[in-house]
This record gives sequence, structure tokens and C-alpha cells, in this order.
Amino acid sequence: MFLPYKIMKRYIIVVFIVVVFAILYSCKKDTTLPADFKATPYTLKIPARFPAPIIAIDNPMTVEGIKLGRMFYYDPILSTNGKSCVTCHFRENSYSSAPLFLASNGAKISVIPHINLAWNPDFLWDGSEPTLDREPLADFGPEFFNTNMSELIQKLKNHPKYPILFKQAFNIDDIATLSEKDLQLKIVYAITQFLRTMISADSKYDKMLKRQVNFTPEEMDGMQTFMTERGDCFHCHGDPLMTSNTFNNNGLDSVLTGSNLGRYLVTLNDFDKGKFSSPTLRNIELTAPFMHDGRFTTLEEVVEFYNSGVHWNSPNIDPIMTKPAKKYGLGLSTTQKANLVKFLKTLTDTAYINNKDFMSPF
Amino acid sequence: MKALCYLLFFIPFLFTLSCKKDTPLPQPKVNELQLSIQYNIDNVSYVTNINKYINQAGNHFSISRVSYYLSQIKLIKSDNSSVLVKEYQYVDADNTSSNKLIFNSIPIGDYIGIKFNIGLDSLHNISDALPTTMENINMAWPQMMGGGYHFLKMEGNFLDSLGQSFGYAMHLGTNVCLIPIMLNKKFTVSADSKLSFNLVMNINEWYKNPNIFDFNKDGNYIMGNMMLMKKITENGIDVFTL
Repeated sequence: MFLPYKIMKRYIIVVFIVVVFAILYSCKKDTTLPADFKATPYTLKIPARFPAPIIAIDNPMTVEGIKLGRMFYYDPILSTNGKSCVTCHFRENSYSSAPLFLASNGAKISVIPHINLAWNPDFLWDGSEPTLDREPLADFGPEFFNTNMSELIQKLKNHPKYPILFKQAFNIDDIATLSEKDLQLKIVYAITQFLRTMISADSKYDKMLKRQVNFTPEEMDGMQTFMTERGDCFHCHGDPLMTSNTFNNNGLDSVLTGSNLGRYLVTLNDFDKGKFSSPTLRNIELTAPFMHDGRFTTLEEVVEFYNSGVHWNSPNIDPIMTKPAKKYGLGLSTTQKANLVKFLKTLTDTAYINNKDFMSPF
Repeated sequence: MKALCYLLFFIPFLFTLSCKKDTPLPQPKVNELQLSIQYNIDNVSYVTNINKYINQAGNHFSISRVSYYLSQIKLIKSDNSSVLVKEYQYVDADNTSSNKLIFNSIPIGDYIGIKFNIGLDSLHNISDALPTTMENINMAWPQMMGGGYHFLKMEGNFLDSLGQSFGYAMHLGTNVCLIPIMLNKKFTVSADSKLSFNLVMNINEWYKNPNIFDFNKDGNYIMGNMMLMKKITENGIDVFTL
């Protein structure tokens, strides 16, 4: 049984066209993503009582960007010396570090923990970096990763995962087409997207405020010291961020030289001598040593400093330190000091350091 | 086929209609009043972190921060009735946008002045009464100290009698320290009028009339000391001019 010639001819033409298109399609470059692929917007879950976070307009958060950033956070691929972000930011220290960082100028610097950075308006102890989305750029330098950029480009390009992750996160088809500067920026953007997800708001203190747990009488007394004129800690470490995000001289030294000049080294304003960024006290128990130069190793030492060791004649000392009746110290009893430490430990958020979303993806 | 011809005939008309210029909708009446808050120190211009000011007590001082709330901002009509234009406003002397208050849809009529409080009225001076913005949480007063918010934070440095630089913090709060301000100003709001006034704070007024405040004698910190807070509160009555 044969089909009529005319129908047969049409059938052959149709089949021919289909086959040609199929061949052409199969020769098309293999991109697993459609041309109009867009990264999935990510909305931060903002804890109750927290203000709106600071999200850079030029670096909107996406699911894919965060995934890429988390990989870079842990991957020594960025360095030539085996270092990654977690070389200095240990999970058990609230993504901080017990060993001090030794800067190239010889200054010893306490490593700032990665926690609730989405609410920081400036970065580093002296606030020299005003934008989170630029802050890690310095990490490519010799003090940290000592990155060889041309080598990095090749490593990323030939990596089994990073090319597709770059495509997914930033719609970049070929990493090698980026300038070194642009590549650094994209890597930093991914890392800071991940950093912004690192939110801590589930400490015993938070649970107490939500009436899920009760404080012991000692912790309650410690909070009384913290939140009232007795200790007056709250002015620089106020709820809910436990930082005022301000620069203050707390009277660590009476004579200020070198890196102890703090904010002054950025602004060159005499009134900023001795001022440092007041850090969040969330997870403070895990982030020893304390102060910008790590001079105190225990919370007890810190409390004793505020109680009796403040150099009230330090230039530009914060007035909180020298207010009437407190000029020569807080005058706390041994019990009050111990209770204040107990309260500070209620700010520890174990759910934060055990959060699998922040752990290594490798 | 006939229907298709009709359709082809009408298509150009449809295009013509779609290109017709839109008739602008009538704009709502604006009736706008703008208050621009400005600062000086006895007619010396306000600049942060420069030690060039001298107060009535002779203290040489600088200013690093002036932030405060205004609340219950009302326009007073000639019949003494009032129009509430803003429940509260956070103002930071260094933040340009927070110093420009724009009120729209002001009722037409004759007015004789503007009144407001420095600080938050009692309905808003309760913990968590304001949205949790970065500004508000840094003005919050802990629950353990009665809750609510700082009304005013004025900070900087001063030189003591030996010429050494110390910080000062004039922090004001609690309902009894609310400062009512009444400023006389005759103006008329008519349809589509756009009025603009300068609201000027002389920062040195906080340290003089009626009480001279001396950092060396009174101290550099007033919070928790009601006598000193009252001194500053009383001085605050005339810090603004319009």
C-alpha cells in the first residue's frame, strides 16, 4: 500500500525540515539555563524588633548568590596560601577568632565576628570601610589571600561548579571575560550576600523577652546593671542589636599612639582620637579576646576594666565613662560584676553557631 | 469575506484613536507647607566636630551629634483651632532629609502660628510605640529605666578648665521633660499655595535662658539627674525661632 506521490512528497519535505532543525538545535552551544534566566530573589527573615537591614542597591540578594558566597566563604580557591574566610572566622567563635590578626604594620587586631552584619553601617574597628559590599575586597591582598588573579580566573573557569554558579548568580556566561576588578567585586558580592544571611536573634536573652524562658535572679540583676545607670552599658550596646553602631572612646588608654588612635586614623579629626566602633555584644562570650587589640581575655577582665580601670583622662573619652559619680569607676560589688557577666552570657546564641545553613557546603 | 473587509477598513481608525493624546487628569490641590530646620550657635554656623563654639558659661565646645524628636506638630488657625500635620518626626541635624518637613493638603485659611513638642508625647513615649528603625532603636530608653525614648541627644566635646578635651552628653527624656513650643507666625493657606519657612534652632539657647549651664560646674552628663534635665528642659522653650 503506497501513499499518493503528492502526499509522499509533502511528507518527505516536512521530515527533512524537522531533521534539519533537530541537527541545528543539537549543534547549539550547551547552556543549561534559558537566556532569560534570572536569579531567585531572596528576602531576609528579619527578627522581631530588629530594624530594616542595610541591603546594597547594587547587590540585591538572591538564592543563587548566597549559595555561591557560601562556597567562596569556605573555599581556599581564592588564595594562593590555602587561606579562606574561615581561616580567621571560626564557627565556634561566632565566626571570629581567638588568635589576634597581625597586620602588616605590626598592629595586633581582634578579629571582628561575622554576626548580624546586615545591620552595620560601617566596618572594621575604625570604620574605615563604609560598605559591607566592598569590605572583603582587601582580602585579596598579600595580608590575607595573596590572590593571583590570573591564576584564579583559570581555576574558576575550569572548575566543575563555579562557571554554572556564576551564571546562575550573576548571569555571567564566561568568567574569563570579566576584568580582574569585576571578578573580585562579584566574588565579594556573593560573599556579602551570604554574610547578610548570618543573623543571630535566638539567644537566651531573646527567649526571655519572648517569655519562652526565665532569667535566673543573677542574670536579672546583671541585666539591671546593663540596662540602667548602674552600669550604663546600653548606651553603646543597646537592644536589640546590642550595639549603637557608633564610635566611642571607652578610656582604654590615657595616651593614644599608633593604631590606638582608632577612628582618627580615618577622619584625621582630633575629636576622633581613641574612638573605636562599639561592637555588638551578641555572642560576646564566644569572641574573646576583647577590645580592638584583644587586650582582655575574659569577660571578667572587661567588666573589671569598666568598673575600675577606665582612664578618665583619655582624650575624647565618652561622657558615659566620666559622668558624675562614675568618674572613678562604676563601683559595682563583686556579686554585681559576676551577675553582669552572667547576663552577658545570656546573649550567646548556640542556634546561630550550629546553624547548618552557615556551615561549610563542602 | 465581507466581515474581513470591514475589519481592515476600521483598523486604521483604531490606530488613530490609540494615538490620541491623553487628557491630563486634574491634579489634587497641594496646599503645601515646608519647614526647613536650620541650626546655628549664637549666629555662628553649625558644623560638627569643630571646637569653635562658646556657650554663655564660657565653655569652649564642639558638637558631634544633635538628634531629637518633634511631636504633635500643629498649625494654629486664627480661630485658635489647630490642624495636626505630623504625629512625630525624628530629626538628625546632620541628615538633610530629616530636617525638611513637608506637609500637604493643609486646609485653606488664615493661620497664626505653629506649635509642637520637642520630645515625644506620652502616647508615643512608650517602648516599641515607634517603628523599629535604626534611628528609633538608638533613641530607645530601656524598659528597666521606664521605657520610652530619648527626646534629645546632644553630644560633643568641651575643654575643661585645664584645656583637656572631655565628652559631654545632654540626653533628655521622660514625659515631664517634654518641651512645648509655640511659635507665632501669621500666614494664609490658599488653593495650591506652597509656603516655606525656616525653623531655626540656636543650639546655645540650650545652655542659657533661663538657666546657665556650665559643663565644668553642672557636669557633662544630665541623664538620670532630674534637676539637670529640668534645667535643660526649661532652656529648651526658646531654642527655636520661626
